[in-house]
Amino acid sequence: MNVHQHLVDPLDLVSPDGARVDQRVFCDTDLYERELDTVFRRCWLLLGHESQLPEPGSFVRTSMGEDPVLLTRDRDGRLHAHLNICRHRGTELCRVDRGSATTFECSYHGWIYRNDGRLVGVPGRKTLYYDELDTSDWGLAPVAELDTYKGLIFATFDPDAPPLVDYLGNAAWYLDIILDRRAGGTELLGVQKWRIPTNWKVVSENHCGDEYHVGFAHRSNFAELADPAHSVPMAREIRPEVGHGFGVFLFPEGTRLEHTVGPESPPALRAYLGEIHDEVVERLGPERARMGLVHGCVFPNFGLVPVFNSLRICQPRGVGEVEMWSFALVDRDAPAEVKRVLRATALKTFGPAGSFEQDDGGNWSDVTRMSRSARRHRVPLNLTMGLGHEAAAPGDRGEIGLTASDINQRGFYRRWRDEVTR
Amino acid sequence: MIASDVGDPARYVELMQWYGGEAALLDDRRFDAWLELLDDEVDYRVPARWNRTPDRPDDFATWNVPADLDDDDAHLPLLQLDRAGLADFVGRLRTGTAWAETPPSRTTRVVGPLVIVASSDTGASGDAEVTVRSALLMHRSRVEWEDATLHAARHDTLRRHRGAWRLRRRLVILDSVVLPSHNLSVPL
Ligand code: FES
Ligand SMILES: [Fe+2]
Repeated sequence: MNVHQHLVDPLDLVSPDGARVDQRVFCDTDLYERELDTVFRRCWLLLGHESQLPEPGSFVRTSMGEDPVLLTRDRDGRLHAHLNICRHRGTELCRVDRGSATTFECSYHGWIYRNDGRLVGVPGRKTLYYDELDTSDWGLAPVAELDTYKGLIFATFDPDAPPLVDYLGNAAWYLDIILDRRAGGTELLGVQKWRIPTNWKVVSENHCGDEYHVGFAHRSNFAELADPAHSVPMAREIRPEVGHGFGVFLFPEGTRLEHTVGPESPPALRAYLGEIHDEVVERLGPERARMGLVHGCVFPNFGLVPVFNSLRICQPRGVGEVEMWSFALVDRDAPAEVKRVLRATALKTFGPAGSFEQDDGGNWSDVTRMSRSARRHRVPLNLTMGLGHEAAAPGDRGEIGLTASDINQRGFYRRWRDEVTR
Repeated sequence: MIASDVGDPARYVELMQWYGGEAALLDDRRFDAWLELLDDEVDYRVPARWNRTPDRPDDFATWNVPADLDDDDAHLPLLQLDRAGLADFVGRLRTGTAWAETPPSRTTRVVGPLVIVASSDTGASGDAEVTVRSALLMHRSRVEWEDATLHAARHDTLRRHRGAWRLRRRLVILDSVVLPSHNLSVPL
């Protein structure tokens, strides 16, 4: 008997153009293990934001894929990321979500690690280990590379990964719209965590390109519109690189920043946008100053809904479950009152109780639940919207769909197909 | 500190009835009637929790509420609403397109023993204010694929004015750091 007969070949599941996807990608456990070894081991993953580690000694307990990671700032201010696993017998080293510490003491046999990962304390090192234990061999296991992009902290387990800026490619130019519009940069507020019984790709493909669902799935938010599916302004989809994707509102040339939000928005916010308009135009240039980022995804699991100041990491927890981690991203130098407005917007719309997010969870769970039938009935899903109507983005910064389009979801699954088979 | 007596037993019974009635209104999705139980200035919060250690090993005062709540401007609660926000929150469920609650979840709320933490009478008019701690178990069944139970402590302040108790402040403190549900689409 061929033991491999049940293994599915990812090349059979996603058509080369990404326009047809077999639902088995959401429920196959072997494939999921393979994703952990490929996608989540080789890609650059978002770990957090520098504002979460404000001073030497700060730490954050996070994860990369299913791997527990301890993110630390050492006494010299350098960032480190290590597996949060004691090298002695493998228990979880740090069980506190954030804080400040010079060293971490394991709760099992008391090994002590410094916040740069070095093993600095072993009970009985002289008497029980005969002074033969070389502690320099037994520091915490580090990630292969760690780097930051304008406040965001990324890492990869792959020593051969391209530099972070190359990995982001053209996506960086678009990310600057939210990360680099002010000299002081940004800070991250949060976090909210909740569990959704869904495969992680269902979430990421939505973040990277699903403008189409907004008018329908989130219709309750647009109750005053007669025919929401057609009245909600559709963003154009931008595919800066295959795998990454953004939805972008393009405001008319010369639009002032305070006019990119509705007249019903709080006066403090409009006044703030009016004040920073010149700074933003100077920093981003007129082309990007009139772009509003609506949604986005940096492959594989860094999601964004900048239009509501929401930033999220979709942490896989088994083939059919994710932990959603949702944050708010605000300009660091904004007045406290404005930060509260931006935070309130994120809270009202996103997070588990958000008026938008509430409705996503059910759809995403259903897609995953239904996919189990697809193990027997091979009915492909449709990602054909706008196929063949892609155009080059201005300045050669990727490709665009001129309105709602599956261009980014096709890119996402093409990238996924490449990553799990390379 | 637990007050050794409940004060006026009639008031305690009145509050038990109020809490039972509130839970029934929410379970029955009579949201308009529920909104009537809220003070105009109600402050309703469900903070996020996080894993932390006490500032001192023997200090469970700092270990406990509210030090392990993400309840300041640097963090995000799961819900933070005023009266208008709560009216929007439950109003959305009636649009017919709030898919999270279409079809509606079935819920059962069990509100545990009430502990009157503080009470004050503010005048001969019968106006009063009480601070009540209770435990909440809410089971929620969604279609047939999610059966989740949320466990929380409630720290409430209720005001009595013209003979009616209204909720002035509610802090819902969940046990879970990661909410074990695909969303939070009904009030706690
Ligand atoms: S497992 Fe950490 S010291 Fe033994
Ligand atoms: Fe959505």
